[in-house]
Amino acid sequence: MTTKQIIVGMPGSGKTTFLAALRYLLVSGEVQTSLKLLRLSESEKHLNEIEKSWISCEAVARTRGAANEWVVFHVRDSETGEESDLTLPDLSGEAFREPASRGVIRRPVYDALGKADGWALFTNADRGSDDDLICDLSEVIDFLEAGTHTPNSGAASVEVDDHEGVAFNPDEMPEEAKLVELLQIINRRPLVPRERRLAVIISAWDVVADDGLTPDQWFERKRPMLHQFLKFNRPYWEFRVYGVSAQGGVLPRDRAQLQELSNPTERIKIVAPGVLPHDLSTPIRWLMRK
Amino acid sequence: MNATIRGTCKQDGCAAGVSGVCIENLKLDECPHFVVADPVPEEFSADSESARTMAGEVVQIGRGASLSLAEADALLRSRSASVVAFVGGPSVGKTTLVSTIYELARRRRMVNFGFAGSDTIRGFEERCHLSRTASGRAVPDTKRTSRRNPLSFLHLRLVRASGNAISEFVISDRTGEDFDDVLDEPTRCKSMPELARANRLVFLMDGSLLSAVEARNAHISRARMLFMALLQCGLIDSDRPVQIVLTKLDIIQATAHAAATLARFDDFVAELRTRSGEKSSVQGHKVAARFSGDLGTVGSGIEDMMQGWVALPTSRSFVTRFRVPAQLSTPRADLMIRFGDRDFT
Repeated sequence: MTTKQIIVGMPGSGKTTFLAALRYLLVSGEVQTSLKLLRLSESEKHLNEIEKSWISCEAVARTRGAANEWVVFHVRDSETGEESDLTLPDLSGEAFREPASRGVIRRPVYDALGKADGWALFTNADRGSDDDLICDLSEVIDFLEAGTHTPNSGAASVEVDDHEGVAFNPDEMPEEAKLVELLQIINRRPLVPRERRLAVIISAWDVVADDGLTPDQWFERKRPMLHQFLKFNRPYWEFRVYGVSAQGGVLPRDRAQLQELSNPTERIKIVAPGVLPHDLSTPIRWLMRK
Repeated sequence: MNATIRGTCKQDGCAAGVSGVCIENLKLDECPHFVVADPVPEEFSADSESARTMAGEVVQIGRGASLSLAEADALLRSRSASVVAFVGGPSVGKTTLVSTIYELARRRRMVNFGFAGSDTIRGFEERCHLSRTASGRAVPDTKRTSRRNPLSFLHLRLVRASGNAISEFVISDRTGEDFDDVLDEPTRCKSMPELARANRLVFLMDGSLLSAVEARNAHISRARMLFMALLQCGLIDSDRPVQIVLTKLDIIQATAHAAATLARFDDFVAELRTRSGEKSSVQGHKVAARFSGDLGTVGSGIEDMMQGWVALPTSRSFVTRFRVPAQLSTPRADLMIRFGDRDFT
């Protein structure tokens, strides 16, 4: 059986790093995993390149521009014994940005999205906010200034040197807006809407792990537009949320510490109910079971 | 077909930008309404190697930043949605209000509504841009809807917290100068298809003008004239509730005579209700799209205003110069076929 999954996300959302870590995980067999690798595929070149960076605790180079790589994992489900060929295109983030910003999508990407049985959608927990309201910021400033109010400052207004602002650039739209549009496109004519599973992968999870939120809570709070869209568009999108740190730390700050681990697999962190430690194949297996 | 020229046509109902066919049967480079698009990004340009490699491998999927008249009509034919027509002069806050509705929904800041999607996300994002820190501004603003922009529509799918029912809205975005023209020629509003089709009229009044002593009476007079024009042209009836919305409440609240201003507004709403007789339900609302420390939150009053939107009948279609088939196989097949003026109600 061949199942097609797809990894989607904006540039820098952690897709390629995830693939590199997944590849090492399946090949090394260092820890127990939901999926077992049966054999190598016909072309391992791309995976070799990205895995090399990952093992060395180097930042995995982003897949850029028109460079799209298609990887295949021949796997067996550890629980059911079912064998599958898992096809995962490693597409550039730019390919996913264009639909919302320019209203066009490359044919290979469009076909891959339409045919995929499941989606792994990436968002980086470490990216700064890209859609703050000026009004909200003013509220914070007013609050802070109220705390530092001195008797002599009075109610004097601060002269604001305002300008017309930077022109709107659709390429720079907030990530959530682009992701939601991507999800809408695939159920829009001429394609026929159908039910799919979607694994939300919150990458760089280690950066926010100490905030005291589960991945589900973080996703609902920090990605409200995307969360609402998925929640209110069931059954077309059945989703689960996973917090993932494929690197295991911040590079280059934590490189020395990560390299000291005897098993590189131990760097990997994944947080979700019922997930085996370090098992990045869990979300992929869940997608495959649809 | 003018396949090599990219751009959009400002004329209502013309989709030359998609089809390459001008409704006036002009060549696109000769049509005074056609605006040639910006240069194609290098990788998509005909001269680039990557474009040659990708020739035939690009799919047009976007509906654009907003819906044209024909696109809105096609949407209404394919699924149930309510048309909300915004009425008001220049700078009264039409675009700011509709942008703020989108902001509140996408940020989950409304108790009774949730965000379920939009076919015009890019349109909303562009209209919201100057109110965000990403614009580099210190003071929020909204890009004015230019007279050069044709009538367009924004689309929003919301979920009602009670019962999880989906409500879809097609909201008009027309330049305020067009409504100024109605003051000079009242029958002009008959040619505004969104008014005839609307399930609800949102009639905006400018809170900053109402709170300015020197401008208040003139603003009320103009609003009265505009309302009378709508009434006389039969655009206010029992099927079409009217909301008189006072914008910029935050500015009013910052003045010493806020109470008097709000009372004057309430009196004016009562007057319009009397003028409309039993023809329509007329309700008043007060909103502030921008943050006000006293009001406590961005978008004060907007959710209350929207409560009346959810129980709207969805029956009519547009009067359009083009027939748009309801069920088609591809977006490109939504090309408009000219059949002359038709009323599809």
